[in-house]
Amino acid sequence: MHKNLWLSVLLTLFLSVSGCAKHEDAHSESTKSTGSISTQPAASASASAPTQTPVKDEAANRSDTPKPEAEKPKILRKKEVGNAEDKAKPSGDDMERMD
Amino acid sequence: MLDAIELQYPGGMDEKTLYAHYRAPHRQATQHITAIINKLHEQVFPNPFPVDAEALLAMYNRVQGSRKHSTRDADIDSLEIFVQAQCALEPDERRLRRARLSWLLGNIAFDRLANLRDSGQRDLLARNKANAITAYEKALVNLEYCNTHGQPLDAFLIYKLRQNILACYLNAVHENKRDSDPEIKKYLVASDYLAQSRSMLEQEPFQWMIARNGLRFCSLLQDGKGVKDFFDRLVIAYKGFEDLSYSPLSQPSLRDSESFRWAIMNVLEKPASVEKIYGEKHA
Repeated sequence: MHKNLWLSVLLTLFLSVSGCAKHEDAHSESTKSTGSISTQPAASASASAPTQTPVKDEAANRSDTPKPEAEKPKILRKKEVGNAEDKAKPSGDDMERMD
Repeated sequence: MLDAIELQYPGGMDEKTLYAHYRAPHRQATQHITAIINKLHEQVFPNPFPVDAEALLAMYNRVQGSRKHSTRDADIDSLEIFVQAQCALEPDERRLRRARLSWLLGNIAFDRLANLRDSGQRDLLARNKANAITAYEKALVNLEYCNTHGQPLDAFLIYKLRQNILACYLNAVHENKRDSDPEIKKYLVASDYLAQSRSMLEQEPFQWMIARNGLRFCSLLQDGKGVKDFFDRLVIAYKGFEDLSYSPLSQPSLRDSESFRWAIMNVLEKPASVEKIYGEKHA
């Protein structure tokens, strides 16, 4: 029984360590692919640096695959800025046109 | 009628909801309710224009209203060129189609006015205002021809075009300069807009937008009797307008709008002065 307890502790430790290792691998992969400009928005990076193909590929993949929850606010903010530049809100009490 | 809605549109709407949307201008309909109301409206007031021209206008409205459309302005510019070419090709036999395409051209130029005014681009503002008025006037000529040559049209259609022309004059000017703009007053008097608005309200007293615009222009002309008349009509359309702070959907309240300042200061919040105006008129 004592032996079984140790085995289960070891198994738990192994699983947690291997989980950490996988997470670190994934993290290092992502930093490798985005390189030193990983803090910049992907869209602006792809627009300003066309020779950096890994960034471009990632940006393309992002548009096709579902986004993780953490990335959503960033994308929304970008659209809001675009809208503000697109069209200023009309001021005052204008008459609406009729169709 | 509600049974008919239920038969045609499963999961339609209850009577209370229908009347609430019919009566209250501040209520925003869901997509489902909007679809049902539009369908019913189409059945009762069939659209006289060709389906393809209507589809083009609907497409433009969607693009124009879309905030996510990144190439919106460029696409609208392209559409404008296409519609101009189509208009020029339309023969006299298809006046209705030509009128609707002209109407669409008017809308395209009209929708640019507020932004050009607010950004101070005077030349472009003047050009788009002139283009919008010209396009609406062409549509009006074509519709009036149809109306008198065997294709009777709803009077409300003609009214809408005249209101759009007046709106071009109004929207091209900043709100705080409208009461001193001679062009607005000139067209307002020449078009007999207020009399036409009264006539439309006799037929359709629930049209609060017409009553509100009538009140706006009477305030601009500093016509106390007219202000009282159109305010009464506005309250007939919806009782909530008795409260000057009441705000209908997508419009500011009377109190929050510069356009009604004269009316509020001199008539709506001064009952004694109304009595005086009436007294003088009847003396």
